[in-house]
Amino acid sequence: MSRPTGFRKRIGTSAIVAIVSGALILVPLLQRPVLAQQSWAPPPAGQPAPGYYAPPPVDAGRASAEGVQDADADINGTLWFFAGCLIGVIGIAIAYFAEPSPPPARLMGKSAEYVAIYTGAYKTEGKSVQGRHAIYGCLVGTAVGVAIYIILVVLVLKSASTTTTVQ
Amino acid sequence: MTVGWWGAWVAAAIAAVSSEAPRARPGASLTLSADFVLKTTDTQGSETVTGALRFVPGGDVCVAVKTPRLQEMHLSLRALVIYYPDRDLAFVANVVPPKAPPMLDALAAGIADPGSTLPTQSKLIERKRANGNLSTRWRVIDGAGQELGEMRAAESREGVLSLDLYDTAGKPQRRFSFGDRLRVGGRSVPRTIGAEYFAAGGARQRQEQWTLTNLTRADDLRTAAIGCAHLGPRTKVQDLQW
Repeated sequence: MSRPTGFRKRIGTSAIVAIVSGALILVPLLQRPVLAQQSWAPPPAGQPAPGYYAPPPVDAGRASAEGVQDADADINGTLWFFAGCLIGVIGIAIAYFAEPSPPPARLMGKSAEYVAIYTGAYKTEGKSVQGRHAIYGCLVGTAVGVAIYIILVVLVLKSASTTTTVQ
Repeated sequence: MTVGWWGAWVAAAIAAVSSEAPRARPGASLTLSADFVLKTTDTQGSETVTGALRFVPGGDVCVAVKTPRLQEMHLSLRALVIYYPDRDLAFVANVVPPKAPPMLDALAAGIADPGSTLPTQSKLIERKRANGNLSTRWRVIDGAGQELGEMRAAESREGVLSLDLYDTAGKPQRRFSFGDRLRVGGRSVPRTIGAEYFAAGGARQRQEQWTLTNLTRADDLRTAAIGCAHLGPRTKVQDLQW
């Protein structure tokens, strides 16, 4: 009875070794196509796959980040703040309707995907910056207006009570 | 609003570039072509773009980018077209007034007369001569009478040497410097242009270095080869928000 048990043990051990060895050989082979699909290298210039318009992930991320960064740098929030402060809600509306556009020189030599993503990100961020500063301006303008109104009311009430006291 | 003030400047620069050439060649508007190298440096690193460009009478500009990838651009008062010939794919952005038309501003700054690029309400606040060069300072005022900033220009006999634009707080916004010049089609055109772009706080954000070679009048035969984003019947056209 001991012989079959030893034989079984040996077969079991060999099977485990075979499975592990096979896995060690096969897993890298199986991974290769996946890695090939995930390659960040750009497609060869001048030979795009027909009908392929999906942006490579790195290019998309970079385009979006650069669009946001450039819009933040280009747009002067201070002046939009004053627009919101001086013309209130109209200033906010203008800020959200007036779409900033990137200088064309920034699109020169860029891929179609980059141009589409960069421009979209630039405009979205640009409008957001404009609108945000116009809202701050509007709030500050309103607060200043309310403060002036309260001061005027207090002054009027004071002068009215003084007039009543004198009479 | 920086973009607004800049947009007004660009619009005026285009008008100046596309209008009649001053003095030297009355009746001739700007027609020139050149090969270019554009080196851009920003926080992401530096990049070089090469190709050829052409100024067409009426203010249009055609750009054929050769490296790093094939691309054609057509900049006009009403539209910006970006075309990829190898994919037969085009982006078309329509420009609706009062939005400023698209422009390669460093080139416009180098070719246009600085005084003509400002809103009409702008005032000359200083003018002095030193070493044969003329320095001027302009207070830039828009049509509504609002002060937008200041422009400082230095000019020699050959043309503009430098052009600096500041915001109302005195922070730099744009700085252009121009190298030696050639007379082409009645215009003095710089062969090198350095442009620096500053963020709202005054920090330098981006630098461009343009080098123009083979400057010629655009009516030469050679310029026919410079593409101008001509779309074919099968071209895939996508709208580009502008």
